[in-house]
Amino acid sequence: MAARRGLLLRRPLCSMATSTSRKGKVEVKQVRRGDSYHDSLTSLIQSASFVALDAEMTGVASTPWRDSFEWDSADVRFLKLLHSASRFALLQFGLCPFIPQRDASSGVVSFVAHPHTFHLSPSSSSEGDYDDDDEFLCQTSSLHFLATHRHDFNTSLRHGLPYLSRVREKAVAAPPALRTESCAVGFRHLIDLLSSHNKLIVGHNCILDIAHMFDKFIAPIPSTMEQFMKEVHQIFPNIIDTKHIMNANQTVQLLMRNKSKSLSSAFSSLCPTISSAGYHRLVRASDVNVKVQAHDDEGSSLFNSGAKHEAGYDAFMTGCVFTQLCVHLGITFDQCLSDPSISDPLQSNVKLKPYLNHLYPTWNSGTVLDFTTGTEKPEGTYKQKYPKVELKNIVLIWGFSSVLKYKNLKGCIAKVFGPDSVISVFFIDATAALIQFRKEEFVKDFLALKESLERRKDDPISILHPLSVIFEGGNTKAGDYNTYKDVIACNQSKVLFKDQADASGVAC
Amino acid sequence: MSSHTVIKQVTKSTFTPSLLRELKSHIDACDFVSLSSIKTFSATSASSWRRRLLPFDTAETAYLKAKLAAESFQILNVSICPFRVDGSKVVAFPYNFHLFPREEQSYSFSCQASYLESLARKGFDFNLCIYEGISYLSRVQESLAKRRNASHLDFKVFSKSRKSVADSLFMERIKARIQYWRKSCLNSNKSPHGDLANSLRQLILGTQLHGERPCMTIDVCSDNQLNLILETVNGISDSLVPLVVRNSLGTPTSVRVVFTSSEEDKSALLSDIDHAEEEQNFNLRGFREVMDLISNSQKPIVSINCLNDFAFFHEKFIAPLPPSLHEFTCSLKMVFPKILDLGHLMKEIGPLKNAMDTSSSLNLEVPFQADRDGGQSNQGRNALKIISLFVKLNYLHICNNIEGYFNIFHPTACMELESVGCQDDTNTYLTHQEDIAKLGVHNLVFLWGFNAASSLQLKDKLRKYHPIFHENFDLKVIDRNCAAIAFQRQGAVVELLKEIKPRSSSIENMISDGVIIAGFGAYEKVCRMGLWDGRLADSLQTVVLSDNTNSPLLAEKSTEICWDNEVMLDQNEYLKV
Repeated sequence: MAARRGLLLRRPLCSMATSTSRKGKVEVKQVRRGDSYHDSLTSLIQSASFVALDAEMTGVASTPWRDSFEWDSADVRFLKLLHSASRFALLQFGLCPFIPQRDASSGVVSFVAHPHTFHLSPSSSSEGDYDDDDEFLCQTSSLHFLATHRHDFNTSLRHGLPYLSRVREKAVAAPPALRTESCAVGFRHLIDLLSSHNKLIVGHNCILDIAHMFDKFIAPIPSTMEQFMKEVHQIFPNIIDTKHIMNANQTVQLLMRNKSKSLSSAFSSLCPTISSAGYHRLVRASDVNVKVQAHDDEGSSLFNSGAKHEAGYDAFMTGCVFTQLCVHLGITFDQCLSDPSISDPLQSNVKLKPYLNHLYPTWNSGTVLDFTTGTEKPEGTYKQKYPKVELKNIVLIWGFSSVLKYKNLKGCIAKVFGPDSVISVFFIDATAALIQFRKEEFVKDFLALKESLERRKDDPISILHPLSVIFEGGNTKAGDYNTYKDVIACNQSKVLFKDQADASGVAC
Repeated sequence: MSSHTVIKQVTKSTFTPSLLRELKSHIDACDFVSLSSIKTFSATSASSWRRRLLPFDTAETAYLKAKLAAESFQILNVSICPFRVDGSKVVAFPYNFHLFPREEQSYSFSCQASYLESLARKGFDFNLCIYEGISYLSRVQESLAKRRNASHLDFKVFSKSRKSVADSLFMERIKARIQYWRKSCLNSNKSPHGDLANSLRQLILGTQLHGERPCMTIDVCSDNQLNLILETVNGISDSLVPLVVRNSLGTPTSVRVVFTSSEEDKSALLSDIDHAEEEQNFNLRGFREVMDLISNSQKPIVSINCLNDFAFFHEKFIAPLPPSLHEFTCSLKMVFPKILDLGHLMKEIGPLKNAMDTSSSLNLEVPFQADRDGGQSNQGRNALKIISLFVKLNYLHICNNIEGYFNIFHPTACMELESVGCQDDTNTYLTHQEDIAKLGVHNLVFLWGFNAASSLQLKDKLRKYHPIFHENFDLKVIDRNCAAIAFQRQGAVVELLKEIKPRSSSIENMISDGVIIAGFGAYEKVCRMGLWDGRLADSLQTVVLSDNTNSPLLAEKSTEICWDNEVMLDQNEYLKV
């Protein structure tokens, strides 16, 4: 293998660009049950400067109200993340080691990428003690979305590698079970390898990928965000989220002004020479050259032309975006080759350090998740899209009449609490809304008023009261922000928020 | 049944009104329709107590489990086979429909991983389902959707007797706008200025095209405005057709006024709209059309595993499932009046199995032609297997008395359809039916909180606790830390439970060890309250703690269950300490 790579190294630059891709295509190694990959990938990971990753899952949110919202507190966002990562399954996991090399003629450091797509089977292949693990959720729109990108569901289910977390591996004690699970354990060892070498892991908007990785390969996710971040940090001490760099770095912000920060748009805008390879383009001096190793010694391996939303290809794009972001941060890759004794040339780079282990949260809340300290802290450089929300000023109502609209909701509250009493109203879905008051005391007053109106249901004062519009029908319930949190924490997944709230049995 | 039997595979692209007409003609010409489905889970292969049918499940608790499953999981395939029996020959028309929901129909759903894998191993094509599956709407969903997507034309004009000044002004303004635009439409054909001038004029006047016809759009802010606009349009000319445009919530957002050039042109437009709506409705209802077809035919349906399958059909194609079995069967009967559950039939005729004609093999004729490409998938054979089983049972016994078997569902776990083709398995199943003890729920208690390494050890322990455990009883461990105990003797359970609440000294040891006993009523409550999450023992505990009536939680009414001595709930009856 070394010899062959050496050969590749000595090719002139232009021909390397074409070896990257025929007609702009990137060859991605496909790994299925029974395929050998372990030894070759182990040595690739060992010599890589960093490993990019990406995951494809069966869905993100089980109900519309489990999507991320602007008004979600850090706690609520964690509950949604926890639910998502523990209930949905992985279909593919993409790993792409990036190995540095110095171009013989120009002396410039470039990378060879080795994109791998692991096809995973959702089956946990455990018996008895983990009954509920035999079930997973699918989000209908996610499967439709994957179908439009020609995802092969049969491959996942017929030939996917089963996965087994560290915790579960210990639980499966019987020898025959272990034998059947060897490939599950095998894949998990790669994750252990990433961990034991303190490899720099690079993802794009990767908090959910990391959560899935933790849930599927390591252990059930702990019950608080702080604990989760601490435990992740112990296992993966060096994570980079390219989405965070794009949002936090001024130079990059300027560069990507008005451009979408989705992975594929970032890839085409930041890495034009790679993304449109095959077309003739001027190579800019700042472009980092990335080639793809399209063949290996095992011969029998299956390669597919990578496509968007295939995990291996997305991991490849993520890694390319990262190398280019490094250039904009003023990081050179000479260290990656100069001293082989430095095992972590990139993560110890002072220019990268501020971004290390800072992950973009699921929603731009003006905060960033710092995995080193296990805290969520304000990120001043994020462009904040929305004004800050005062959680203690919020009332949750649900079960109201379906004709109730923003205008009359705001109007009738204004009649009671004054014209400026309501800052804004957020409809969770057609059956529930959050109302943000200007003052905290209005929350208490509103809930008290509701109660007294209900007590005197039939007297004329109640019927003529402006708020009666909200409570019409007698099924409207209300609570404060903690009630909202309790409803989200409830395990069920009713489609309508109203039904979820009623099923969760929160006091109201 | 040869393995080359052609089963028509139906997907989105082949699901057309003409296919439906063909299916209808086959149903009309047949005596029965067999039905079977593949879902994202299978009750027989599930292991958790809330999914699996347990030997102490009554029809009611079995229904509640079926309801939970139908609400959580998804249907992937429905195989349907109209058939008739001609003497010794069976003529059958097997169809297999591939289904996949739209997001609006089902936002998310559960899958049982091990079952999907076993389907995959047998060659089930998931891509075909997800890429090409037919969607559907239940009857209730359709009527809700109709309310939202009210037709373009059905908005009635309510002429207010008295209009406000603002109303009149609004109408005048709209009238002037429409008339000016209409005049330009009338003139546009004669315009001497050519295409460019025409298109400029159209741009300025806001003329758009509705198909080939010119139209203009007027925004609407209220129902009153909508009314006024429709009234105005109707007053100007018969050649203008107003169409109401609605948003996703069904609220009218604008009126599109379409210009028609003649009386014929107008009726052509109206019939186009009808046609488009018809097609849209067909696509919206999707596979539901097939279920409606079977329902309208009133033909008897033959199936197996009916409680589960029809709970799914009800939930997905009719309406959300009601809270009790009784309401479910009533509602179902209105749609499918005659359902024959082969599971029930086998239970009934089990003792007669010797009379079963084991020598006859099924003479099945399937008149479908294989596609020219010959690539017919084998998916959907279960409906044919049901026919095979039905025919055998039918010869045997029920020909004359079939009505007596309709609409009774057999709640206990069914034999796997996979084994139906095999003669020996059918016989074994029938023989096995004889071994099942007919017990009542009053013979049962639930027990948890114990500390034992095996069921044998647990039995020993129990004998030390109370003399009643020296009697004849059977014990099954469920969910590792909970046990169901069936006493042979009537009245034993009542005697035992009587001693619990006043804490009789005879069970002092048991209680101080933390062992808790409750009657079948506790389990009924768990199912009714939907305490499905977690361990059964925890759910039972919740019920016992929340019960303030101080009752021993006996079963509400006496119901027969089929206590199958051979069913092992825990694989090796091994308890985890």
